[in-house]
Amino acid sequence: MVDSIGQPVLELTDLTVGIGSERGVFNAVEALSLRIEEGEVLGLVGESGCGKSITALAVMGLLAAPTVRITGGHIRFGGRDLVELTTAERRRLRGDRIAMIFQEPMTSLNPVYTIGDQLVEAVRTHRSLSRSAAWREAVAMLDRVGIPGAASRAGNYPHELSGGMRQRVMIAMALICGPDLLIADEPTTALDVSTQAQILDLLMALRQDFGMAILMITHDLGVVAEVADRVAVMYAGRLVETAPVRELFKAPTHPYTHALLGSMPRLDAQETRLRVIEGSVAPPFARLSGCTFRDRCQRAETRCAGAVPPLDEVGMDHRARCFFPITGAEVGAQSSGNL
Amino acid sequence: MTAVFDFLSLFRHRWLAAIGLVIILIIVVAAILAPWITPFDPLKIDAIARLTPPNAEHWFGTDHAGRDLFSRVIYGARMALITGIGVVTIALSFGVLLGILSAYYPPLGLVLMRVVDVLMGIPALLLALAFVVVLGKGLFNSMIAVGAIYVTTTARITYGLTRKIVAETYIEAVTSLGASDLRIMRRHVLPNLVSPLMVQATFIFAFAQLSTASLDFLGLGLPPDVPSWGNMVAETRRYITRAPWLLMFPGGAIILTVFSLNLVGDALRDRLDPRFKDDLAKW
Amino acid sequence: MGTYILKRLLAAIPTLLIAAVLVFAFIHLIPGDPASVMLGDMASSEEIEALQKEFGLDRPIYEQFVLWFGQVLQGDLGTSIYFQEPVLAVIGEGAETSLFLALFTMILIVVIGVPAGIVSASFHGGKVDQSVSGLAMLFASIPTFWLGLYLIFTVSVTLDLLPTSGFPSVIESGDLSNFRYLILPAITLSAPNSALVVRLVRAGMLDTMREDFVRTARAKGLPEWAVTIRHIFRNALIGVVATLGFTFVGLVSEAVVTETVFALPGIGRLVVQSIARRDYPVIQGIIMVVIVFYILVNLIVDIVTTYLDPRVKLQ
Repeated sequence: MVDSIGQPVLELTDLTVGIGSERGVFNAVEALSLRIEEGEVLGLVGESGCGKSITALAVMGLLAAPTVRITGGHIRFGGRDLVELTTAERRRLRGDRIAMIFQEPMTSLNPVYTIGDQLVEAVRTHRSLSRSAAWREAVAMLDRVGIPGAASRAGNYPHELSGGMRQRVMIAMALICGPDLLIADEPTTALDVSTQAQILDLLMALRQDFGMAILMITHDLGVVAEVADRVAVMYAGRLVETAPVRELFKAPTHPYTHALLGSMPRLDAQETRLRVIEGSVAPPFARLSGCTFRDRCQRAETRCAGAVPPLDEVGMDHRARCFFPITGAEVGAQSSGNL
Repeated sequence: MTAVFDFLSLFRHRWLAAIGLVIILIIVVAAILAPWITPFDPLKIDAIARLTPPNAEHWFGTDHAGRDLFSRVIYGARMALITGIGVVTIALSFGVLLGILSAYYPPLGLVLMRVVDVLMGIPALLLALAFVVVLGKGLFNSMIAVGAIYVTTTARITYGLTRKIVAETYIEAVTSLGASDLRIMRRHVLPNLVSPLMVQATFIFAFAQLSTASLDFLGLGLPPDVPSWGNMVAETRRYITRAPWLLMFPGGAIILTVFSLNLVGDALRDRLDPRFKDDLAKW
Repeated sequence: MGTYILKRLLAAIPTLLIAAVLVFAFIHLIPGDPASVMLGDMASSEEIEALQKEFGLDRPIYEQFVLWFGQVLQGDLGTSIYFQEPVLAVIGEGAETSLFLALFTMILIVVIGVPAGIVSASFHGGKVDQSVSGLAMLFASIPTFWLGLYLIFTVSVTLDLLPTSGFPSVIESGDLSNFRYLILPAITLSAPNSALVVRLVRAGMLDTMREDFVRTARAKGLPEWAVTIRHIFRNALIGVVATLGFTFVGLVSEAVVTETVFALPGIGRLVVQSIARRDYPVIQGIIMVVIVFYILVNLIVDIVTTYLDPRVKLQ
């Protein structure tokens, strides 16, 4: 799955997304370059405000224009650059070839239509099917996402379903046209732990069946460890590290990734206090020059203020944006945690 | 002084509302200075000059009795100002009193609010007419009649707001420290009511113009010879085809006044709290 | 559904009671005793006494009230002094005009006001929004009596396109073209009353636009018009229906001025005439009828809301 020889399903090159305000344009996403191979699950990780959700919206074409818009870069999908497409062309791809599910299943469905009708709407937007044929598709899809009694449930209204069920409906709606790429923005964050596991299992099973790629956006490293093939870490609008999942957890190279992993609570840890990353993310318009993480990084030196570090190769298919990445040797001395 | 600047600042981005404010001020000043700025006596009948179109001498023309329309319209502004102030005073004083009492004494409040509900189910003009039937016509009575319409909405809004304020925890603290009901009302509830009531007052003033003018038009408000805008339109009904200016100037005056007040009220409301939009959206 | 309606009607009785008390108090607040007030200055003392006996005015006041309220519940609203006919019948004659006028006015308000609100919200903040909102506010500032006269002046007299007054019955004559008598009155009445609807639709749309399911709709690849109408508007509608209902109730008697200007034989004009004629039973009766109408509309609005919003259940 990981070693795909063909074209990547999605390739972002230097994507920059700006948010306009009275004080000027603020780049929520800064020169982001990513790729997702066919059938691959890429975990996009970062704190809130790091730009991961905006990246997803940019790919979908759902940015709140004209305040928020793509100001640079390319999004290659299906052999075309999405940035150059018209709104109409983008719309045709949306829901059909690229689909997205969101964080809040409780409020993401229209309360006045049945779930069956909403699924029918999703499929008839992109396929010319009769109402009854579309309804059959809808019921079949509901069944595939594990909703018991799909045929009768299709006539239910969203408020008659639990959170977990609603998220399944959202997944059904996203996949009903068989997209090549599914973007999942924190799909399990709003659910309880056991439902989380079920939804993740469902997503993995469906990925297998549909052969689609998944961009899994989350702040939860546990989820990443479970489902991702590769991981991309973002900080303050930039990509700071990317690696295959095992590699990342074994040898986190960027100080931020390292600190993130270190701050994960562990049952076997000796310490009694949770470790935090000192400081906080800079507010918009107050971003530091050079490496934006330097005020929270204990390895920072004068060089870090001078220029933005390039995304260097630090291992097999492993890149990190740091002048002083943490090497394997140092990782060995990791048990005490301090850098 | 800062209050004035504060007030003016909300017109910074709202040029239309600013224009509205200017117009209101002009009307108010004109109304107050009426006896000094009108070229003619508004009641002076001049049979020779009947129904003359606007000209250099009579800027707005004359009506069927030869009276200068411009002077009458200015005096109409006076009546509008007086009736407006009267209606707002009645509506606010009774409305706020009713609202606060209802909020403070729940059993009484429940009954009173039910009555208010029923009264609000009666369309505004009908309610005013009912009062006119009981009280009779005339300036004071029509102020009461129209004021009654807005007592209900004011009472409702005050009731809701007061309950909300009283429910806030800091009131509990103050009460437990021994503050009397009256003191709480004075120091905590009333100041919080000022802003929403100011907005309310502006809109009441605006729509009261329409209601009182309608009463005048129906002959159930001010006596017919009093130069109010409503009266002017009423008495010149017959001559409209021959003298359209008789309809345009008083009517235009009403529209201009109400529109300007609406603009200002809207700007005030935006500034206050968009939440209140729901309460005031009755307008 | 049947039990629900029954329960609601029963719950409406306290409201009716309060209304009855108010209306009853109303007639007794008029200076002078009701009988002489009703019969006017010309009545002799024997006539006054006879009427007092007839109305039971010599009985204690609460007895009078119970008597009167009992009659009201049976549909007897008294007798019109002027017409010497049952009040209900008199009101009934004006009902055709007023109801048709209210209906046409509502149609105009909905057809113009709702799209205006949708457009305003869709382009909110921009020039279109400001213009529409500004225009709506302007219309709300126009007095109906002025607009009516103005329309008569321009359309009827100058252009001679439409009739200026009266309204021959459609039900009796079966002549639908008689509705043209209601065109100008409907326009007159709709202009000031549409501003509220525009404002509410706009506000409802703006609130609904922020909901998550709108984002989902877009993510499905729906065209923008479908998002606006099928998702945003359809949900915003829920909040607007109540106001539409009450506007309708209000129209029936806000038409007082319009009916006077256009000399329409409706309930509004009846009120004004009855005031002039001191025909108090009719005035009382109209107020009671309006309140009952209000209660009914309230009920209908609630039922319609349950159809529009599956989350709301009849209780």
